[in-house]
Amino acid sequence: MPQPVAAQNILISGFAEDRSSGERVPGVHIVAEMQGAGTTSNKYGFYSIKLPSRAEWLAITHVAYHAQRIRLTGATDTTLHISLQPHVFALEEVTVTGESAPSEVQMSVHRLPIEQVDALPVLLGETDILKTMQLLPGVQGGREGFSGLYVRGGRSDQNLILLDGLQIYNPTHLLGLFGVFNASAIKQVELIKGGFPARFGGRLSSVAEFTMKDGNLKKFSGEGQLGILTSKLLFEGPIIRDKSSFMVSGRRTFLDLFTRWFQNNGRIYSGSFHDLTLKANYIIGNRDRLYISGYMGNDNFTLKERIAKNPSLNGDLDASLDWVNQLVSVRWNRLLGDHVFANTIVGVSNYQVTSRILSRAGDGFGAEAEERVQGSSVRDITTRMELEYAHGRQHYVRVGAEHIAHTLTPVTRRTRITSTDQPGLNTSEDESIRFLSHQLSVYLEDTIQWPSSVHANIGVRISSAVSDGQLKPAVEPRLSMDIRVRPNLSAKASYAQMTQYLHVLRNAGSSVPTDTWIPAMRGIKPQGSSQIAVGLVKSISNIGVGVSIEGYYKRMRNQIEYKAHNYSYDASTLGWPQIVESGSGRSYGAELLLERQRGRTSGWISYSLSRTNRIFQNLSGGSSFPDAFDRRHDAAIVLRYRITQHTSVGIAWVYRSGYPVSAPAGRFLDRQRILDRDFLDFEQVNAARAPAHHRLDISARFTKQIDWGARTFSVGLYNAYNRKNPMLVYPTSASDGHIQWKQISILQLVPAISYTLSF
Amino acid sequence: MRWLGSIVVFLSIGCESIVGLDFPGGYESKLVVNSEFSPDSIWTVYLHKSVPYARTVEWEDHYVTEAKVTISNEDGVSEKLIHRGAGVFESALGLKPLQNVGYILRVDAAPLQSVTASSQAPELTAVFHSIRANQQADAAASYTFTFSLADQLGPDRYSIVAAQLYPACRSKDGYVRYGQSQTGSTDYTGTHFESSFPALRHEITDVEDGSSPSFMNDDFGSYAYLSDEHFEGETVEIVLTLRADHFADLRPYFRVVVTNWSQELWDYYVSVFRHDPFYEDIFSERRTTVYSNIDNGLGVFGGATNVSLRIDAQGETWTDAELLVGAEYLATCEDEG
Repeated sequence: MPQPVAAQNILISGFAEDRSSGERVPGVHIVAEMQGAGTTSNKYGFYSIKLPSRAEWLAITHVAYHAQRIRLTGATDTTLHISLQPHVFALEEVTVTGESAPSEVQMSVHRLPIEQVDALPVLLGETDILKTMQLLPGVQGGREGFSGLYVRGGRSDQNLILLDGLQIYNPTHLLGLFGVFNASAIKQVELIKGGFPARFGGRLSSVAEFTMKDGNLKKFSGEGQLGILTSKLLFEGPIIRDKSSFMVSGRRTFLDLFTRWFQNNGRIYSGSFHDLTLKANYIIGNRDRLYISGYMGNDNFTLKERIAKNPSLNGDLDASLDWVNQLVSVRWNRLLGDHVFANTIVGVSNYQVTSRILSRAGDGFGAEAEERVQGSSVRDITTRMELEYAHGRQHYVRVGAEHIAHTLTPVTRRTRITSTDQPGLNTSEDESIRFLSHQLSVYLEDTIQWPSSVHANIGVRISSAVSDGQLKPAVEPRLSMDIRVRPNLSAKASYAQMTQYLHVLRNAGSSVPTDTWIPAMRGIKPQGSSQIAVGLVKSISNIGVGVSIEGYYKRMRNQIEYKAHNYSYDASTLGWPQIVESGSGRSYGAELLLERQRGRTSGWISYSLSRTNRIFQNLSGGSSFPDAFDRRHDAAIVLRYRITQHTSVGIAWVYRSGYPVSAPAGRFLDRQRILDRDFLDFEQVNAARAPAHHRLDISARFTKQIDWGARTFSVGLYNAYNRKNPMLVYPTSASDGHIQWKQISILQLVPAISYTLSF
Repeated sequence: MRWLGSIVVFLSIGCESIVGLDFPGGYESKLVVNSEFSPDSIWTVYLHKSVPYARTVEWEDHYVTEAKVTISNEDGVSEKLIHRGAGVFESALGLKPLQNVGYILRVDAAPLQSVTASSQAPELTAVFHSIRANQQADAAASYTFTFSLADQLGPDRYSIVAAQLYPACRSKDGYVRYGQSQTGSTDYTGTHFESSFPALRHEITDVEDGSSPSFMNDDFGSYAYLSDEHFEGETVEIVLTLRADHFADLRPYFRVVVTNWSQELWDYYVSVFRHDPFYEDIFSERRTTVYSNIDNGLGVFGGATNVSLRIDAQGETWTDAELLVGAEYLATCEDEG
């Protein structure tokens, strides 16, 4: 009697690469046509899949590349590098044959094709990936015009923003008006809002991963752009053809050149930013590749004021605010035994903000000068090792460890007073508070595919931080599940616990560069969150539309704020634990997304209904109150229509409920003791709502192929129907004595124009 | 960071507009009760109603004059207060609160919501021990003033306020000398004091704030606050060094008032103090709302017990009446007598 023969498996692995540039391509779907099993290339372009030996055809798809089928010729383990042919025009209509993309376990994730980001309307002609992210469901953008990210009720410090694997602490330029990421230099953007895989940790609310272009291995190419706000240049090309390449991109604003023309009451304002992005890589052999990434961004604002009341009495004031983001990383990809992918990163990132005020006064007999310099900084040294491999046909395992040495200097302060006629007055004060904190994490993650179309990603991250002589360990379980109910319908669910060992203290309601980072320490617990999410994803493949609906519930613990009467300068005498108080937060909501990433008409429609509350013992009487970034309704329509192969138009319409305002509702007196002023009846913190925000942005792009490349002319209008959206609302007294509310609006009907040459 | 704000304003020049803020549910006026009571004075309750923030207001128009105001003690004995005008209600019988007795206030003033509150004037025992002159200078003499404070069981919060009599007299020519009040009558002025008693704090908000350091032997101005956290149920001796002014040949007359505050009144004043620094920054999320123990209303119904230690530089006790404090009649100045 014949014995049943166990099904034999073969392992297929390799890299997906762009045929024209040699760039490794993340997010490529590789599916065995008959068996339905599939995988997706990781952010380094690596994939690995175990299939039954009888598998014959692989279907390869990616939104930016031609779909293709590859026939498997042998029944043994194979290394198969996939060469992808890019579309001539981005996001053109494609016909996908064979199986659809593999069902993805991960939920609450958005991948933004850079081509689509580029095609959308932009403020002042400056493509801003962070602003595009704000148009996604579950992502708030803070106040009018700013590039903050507030994901599912989280604050801006709760986003893990990674550029080639290293954390960026302040992802904005120009006091938050623009993101730091130069879209020309970015290859892939991914935003995760929930169901976080165990390989990510250290933040509560989101992971935003930005991957830089590697640099063209085949030929030299470049791009130059002239816009209203900035101009930028990008060059890339082989150092050694097919062996080593580089990419360098620089961007600089012109704001400082024309804002100097503006003067107001003897005050001269100026501001500028620039950034530089660098990357190089070297293919050491079949198994090894080395990358070096670098980023340096610098912002500078100045105010100069001259006071010359008369010849014998004069003075001046010089003030400046600078902030710097710098990072450099070395990454080593290695294939172990053909099928185990290893990635090692060592890097340093640095964020520093400094404000300086120098005032001088003289009266003909002498002069006095006072200089006050204040700053804060964060410096991380990160070491991370990751391994991933396919284990059997049902398991894809990731394991890794990470160590981050944080050097946090929340306060540095220096004051110098000098006097020429009173030498005894000369004084100098220096103050600095510094923390060293070590954060160590290990994780294990397994993506499991059961035969019954059930996928799961199960993982655990064990993290700990040593700070202030204390060890604070945490176990963070993670689970994501996908059940393919029908071929084009999936049900998803996820649970994630997150721990964040750093806190941010801010003196203002919104995120500004002067935010102060401190570690969890004795008396200040690490932040924690638990999030559960469920959803449905449906693909309507005949029109290329995906629909997803998700609901989530998130609790946030150990959120801190300054006590009502304390500021950072109290820390040196009182200690941080004594000047902050701890509370909790809760966010829940539903998100809807209709998305089409390819075709003549592409884009998405999103809607979020959410509520975010916070509870602090000494705020709002200890009862729950709306978070400063709570927006009940948030909707966006983002469309790009390709009229011809050379011409496209884009629109983005946004609606958001008004932001909460902690305005008083009533007034009363103390008639027995304190008659000379009114007390304010707030009833509840953030009880009032500013007017709703909505606007329409439009743009058009005209591209022409020329002998040596292409030129693109873009025009657009931000806030095309001139809506006065509130950036700030404040009370004033009307002529009859009653109090009325006024709003300050910026960014009305702002034109955009840019000219790009690429070769 | 003021210049940073200037940049924002600069960016937004010409973009101001009048808008309406949405207060979901609007604002409903509340009954506001102000009644701080002590065994020294008869029952008095001040009433008015709160108004929407944006409205122009003449407060006299919002005094609540028609109300049923009832005070009852823990034995159920109650008195209905009578209206004395301008929304002030008093005990018709001239009754005063007693120490260590719980009282309940109820006010019905339709159409406003009825309110209730409870509090008591806590027990207090403070006894003068001694006074000693430290130096015989004429301008800034100092005196060591010692008294004992017998703390009761349970959390207590105290204040100490030192003052000196500011004497007034009429010269032969008819001029008022020294007097500081509008009438020129004898009155009090605050007296600076120092103390090394470790529980003393400068501000009421510092007492229960663990971040507040102890200022050893510091100058407290004329008032200090403390809690019994470190001498619960004990009798302690507190030594103050009073900085006295001298007025010609007049010897200093001191008054040291020790007050034991009810929890309600203490919390109210802590919140009032914290409310103030943010008065202009009305959008701060971190602002402190004014504490109230009035159910369904605003304000405070809170008791306090005072002990006034009136001692002159020789350690003799005196009374306001003896020295004509507040009297319109002025004695002839002694040095001219």
